[in-house]
Amino acid sequence: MAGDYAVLEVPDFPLAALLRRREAEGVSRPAARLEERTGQSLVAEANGPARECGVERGQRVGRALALCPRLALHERDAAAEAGARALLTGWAARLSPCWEEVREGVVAVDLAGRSRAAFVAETWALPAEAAEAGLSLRVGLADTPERAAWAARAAAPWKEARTNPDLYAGVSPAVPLLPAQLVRRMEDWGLEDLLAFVRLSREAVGRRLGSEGLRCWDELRGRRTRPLRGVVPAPAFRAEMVLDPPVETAEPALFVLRRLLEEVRALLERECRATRELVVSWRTIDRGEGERRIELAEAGLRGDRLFAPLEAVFGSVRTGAPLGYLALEAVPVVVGAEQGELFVQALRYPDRFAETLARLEGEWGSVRCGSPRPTPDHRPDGFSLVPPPAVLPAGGEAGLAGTLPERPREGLRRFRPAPRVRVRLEGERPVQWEGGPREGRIHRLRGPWVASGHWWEEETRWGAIEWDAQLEGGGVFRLVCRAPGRDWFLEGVYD
Amino acid sequence: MPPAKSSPPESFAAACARVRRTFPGAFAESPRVETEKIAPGWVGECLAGSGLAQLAADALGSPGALELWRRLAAECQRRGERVAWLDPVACLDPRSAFPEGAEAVLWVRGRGWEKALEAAEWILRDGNFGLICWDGFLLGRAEWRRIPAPRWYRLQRLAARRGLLLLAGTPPGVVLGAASRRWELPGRRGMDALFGAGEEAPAPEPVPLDRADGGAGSAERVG
Repeated sequence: MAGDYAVLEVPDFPLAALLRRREAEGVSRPAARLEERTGQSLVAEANGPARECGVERGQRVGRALALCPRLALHERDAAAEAGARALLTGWAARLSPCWEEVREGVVAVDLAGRSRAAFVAETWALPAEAAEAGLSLRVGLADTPERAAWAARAAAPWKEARTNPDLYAGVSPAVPLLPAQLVRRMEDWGLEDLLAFVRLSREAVGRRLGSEGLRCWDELRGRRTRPLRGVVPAPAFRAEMVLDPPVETAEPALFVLRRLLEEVRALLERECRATRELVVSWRTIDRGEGERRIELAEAGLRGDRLFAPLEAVFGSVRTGAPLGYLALEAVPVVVGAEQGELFVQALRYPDRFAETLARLEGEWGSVRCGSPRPTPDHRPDGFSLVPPPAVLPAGGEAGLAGTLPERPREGLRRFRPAPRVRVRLEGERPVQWEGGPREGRIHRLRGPWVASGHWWEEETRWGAIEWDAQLEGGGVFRLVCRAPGRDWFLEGVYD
Repeated sequence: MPPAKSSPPESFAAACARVRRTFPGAFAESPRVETEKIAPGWVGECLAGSGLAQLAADALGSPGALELWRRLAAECQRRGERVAWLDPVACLDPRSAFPEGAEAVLWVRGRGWEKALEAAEWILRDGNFGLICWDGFLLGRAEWRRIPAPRWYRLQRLAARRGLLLLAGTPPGVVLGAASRRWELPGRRGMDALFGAGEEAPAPEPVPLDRADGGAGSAERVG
């Protein structure tokens, strides 16, 4: 029984996939993909500008280069194809959960249960979206998967062929979709195109071409359909690319990153997931490695919201050598589980928050910006910085307000680095110091407080004798005598 | 043709008053030299406004400015707001200021006044932080003189437009012309005020806040 099917096709898929990652929109240079066959390098696919120069499938490399000296030659790129495949299957999954990867670059979708107006509108918009992502997409709609595939083949870029046999006008029988023996016999009969074939009566085809011919005729006329063989791909929300030639500046790296993000988003969308954490990793050609983790304030899937923090972070990355490899991974979340609670304080602008944090971290580094958290030891200046959370607990019950004592607590302003000072002692007690932002005779003194820690480790051990010293005119400072040289430092001022 | 009837000449003060009435927006952000008396509920009063405000204090005299700012931050979090602590000289000691940690506080430290102003602009544009503390108490006079005044006016407008408060801490004698509100913490404190009379039971006095002298003429105007 006939239904509604769509077929999405990316022509010359392997070449289109690798060019998508290498060329910006609007840039189109002659390019071809090579393959080894019978010990020779032959042209497997050529793009439009190359075909205009006369480059064709099956040509030898020398011949192709003679016809088009500017021809760029490429080899198959598995990572690029995986990325383009993620995009293609993502668009298919958006139309319906029942889809089948017919062959590389072709996906059939069963639209049963969808309203016609909805799927026509959605499929109509797909080629434009694909063009933005750097792929040329053709869409065919028909009553069977096979006829939809033929419609996609004839589409420019969208075509519906429910009952119209004109779909086959001008299509040579010598297409890879039909069995070779059948094609030869059709040519022997003098059939110039498939339209002539489908206009034959079913009885005549069955009598002369047997069951195989009859099957093809039925498929072409839409009288034969089949259930789609759905696939459940392993969810790995990651895209990567080997950069050849290596990338030295931020602009091409961001271009590649945007392409990778499109692929990861398509994978997430296909699995009905969003993300709240992105991980960018890279390798330089001198084997240097790096990674940045970007936590988003709220889970999302919108491309601009995801790209803005990526751009902010990656735009500030400095490497010692050109980039040779770039990968992007998204940590998936189920969107429903991310819904906030009623009394939890969410952000006013969650998308901006992630971008601002990423920019600050890119400019200052993670050791210079974040929420302070004391380290679990007694080191005087021990603290770590953690990314501020997207959601704060309800006001006043936890965190800063909950820990604030009723009476003021002495806070310290530290001088970083602490200036070395000359201290005059009477006995063991300091009575005056010189140096630092303020100096003078000590009016009052508290201390000493002797503290040490990590004595069991040579590199991290510390020890200090602290005094609180008030100058005559006011102002209370912290003087520290540090081992092993018993040097004196002005560590800070109480405020 | 009779000559056009001309209106009598008005005094300069009357003309100024008329211009102010006609264009009230043009004078809303004009710098006010007079400063405000700080009420006991200064934290609430300070947070009630938006735009750029200034708190001047001699941080080397232990005036209690840090304690005030901690209270501001705590009040902000109680209200569900986040706080950005921009620290051009990296002087904050988180262990004494926030012994339990401070999730609501974003501390951006070091790299000088220029980068701290840049961070302030990014954070104001972000709009998620209700209070931005720009801790310039320990910046030297020479550095304050190098900060271009238009940068403060730009931040003032950004903060006012978004309903956020940017509180700049300055040494005494520095006047931020762009600030719509200014306070000063006069005097220095000693150990008794900080730690209380006895070491066993410290009883710090309330932070003393006085009316600023308002002497912009004697102070150094940097912005």
